[in-house]
Amino acid sequence: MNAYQAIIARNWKSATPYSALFELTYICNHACSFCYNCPTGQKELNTRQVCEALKKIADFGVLFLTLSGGEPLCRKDFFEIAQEAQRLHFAIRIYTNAFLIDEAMAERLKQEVHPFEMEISLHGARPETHEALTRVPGSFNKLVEAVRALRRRDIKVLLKTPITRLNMGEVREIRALAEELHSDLHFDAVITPKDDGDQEPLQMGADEAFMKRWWSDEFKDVREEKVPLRRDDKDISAVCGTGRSGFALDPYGNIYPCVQWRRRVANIMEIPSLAEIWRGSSVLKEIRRVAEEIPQTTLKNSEVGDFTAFCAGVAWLQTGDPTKMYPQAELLARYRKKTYLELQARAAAGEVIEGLDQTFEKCGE
Amino acid sequence: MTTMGEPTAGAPRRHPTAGFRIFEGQATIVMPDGSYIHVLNEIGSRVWDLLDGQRSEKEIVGIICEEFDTTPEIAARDVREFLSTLEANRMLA
Repeated sequence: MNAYQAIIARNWKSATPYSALFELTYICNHACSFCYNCPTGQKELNTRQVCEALKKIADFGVLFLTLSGGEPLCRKDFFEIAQEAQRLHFAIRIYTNAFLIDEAMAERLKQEVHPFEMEISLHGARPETHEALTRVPGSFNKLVEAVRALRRRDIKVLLKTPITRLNMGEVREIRALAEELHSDLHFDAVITPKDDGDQEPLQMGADEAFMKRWWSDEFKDVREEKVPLRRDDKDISAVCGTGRSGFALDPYGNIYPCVQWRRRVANIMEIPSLAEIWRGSSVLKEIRRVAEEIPQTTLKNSEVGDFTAFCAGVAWLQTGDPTKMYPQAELLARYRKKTYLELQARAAAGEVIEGLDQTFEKCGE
Repeated sequence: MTTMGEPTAGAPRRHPTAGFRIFEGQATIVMPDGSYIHVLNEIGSRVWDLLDGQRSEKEIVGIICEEFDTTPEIAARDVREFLSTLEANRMLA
């Protein structure tokens, strides 16, 4: 374990957060069909309030700050906010659709914000696929040019692709595009409900036949996880980092244990400091308790529990119970376990399979 | 005489793009160029903390000497070596 991993492990054990995701606005210049955002019509935080919130987050010791939305670059005061974040010595990530990033914007980001990483949503390898989801003509070419502009300036880019029924036939081409653009790529096989519980986005998910193929040797060279990892719940004290390794804020200042589990903890404008609520909040205590119980109950009681990437927030939205196994998690775990067992058999027969004995990293690291 | 907050001429200073936090005496530093993460030991973290552009290298050596119970010669050598490493990694302004 290196020094950084030791810090992560220590922070995990003590539930000391090191990352925060701040949704600066729900305004967006795309209309993605499975967007999870649910604006409520309240007044979003103004510049002064956002900067005050950033100060509280910095004082609390959080290092990694993701500026998200909606589309964060749609805020007219984005650079003022980002420069304040930079002044507070955050390691800044920006989660964007990149539509507004041209050469001039890329240069401003480099010179004024110095982001550690840009996370950009990519929904296909072709304009027609990407734009079928974003519903904005021209958004694909804008994204590609934006990534080129960022990479020319040595700004790290992580492309994020939820696998949907529209793009599942292009995953290999999407991987190739990411390589061509010298960018990292993360595929997400899970489509989540909207934050208000609306299940409609789930209709966009890839079908079961594809998910079976996704975990086979056919896509081994496309997946990040070459060999399905098992959980090792001796080491994992909680199912994920919700309310533990990080937290999220919405554009109104409401604090949540993570971006997925929208159980409101407090409003950052109404508390003197995050330190006061982090240990004392009954909501957070319960969330941590539930997250710690899940490996020992829900997952232990499932025949595929040892291969399940379980999200209590998604479980809550889909079933009403954060501890209940939900269909997507079970389905994916089933195919992951099937592939693992096949690989195990091949290894027993003498084939060298790299990484077969690795286990899950903790969510959020 | 410098105004509070303005860098002292010649004083070593952290690179302004560095993201960092010091927690329980240990600094974690994220450099956007190259996206590197550095974790410093206790003395390195304290030196990093002192690199606000307000103190000369000599003053930093004096503080380290006091706080870590070491000789001026060893402190001077270690601080110089550390600053050279930071410079080589483009972590100084």
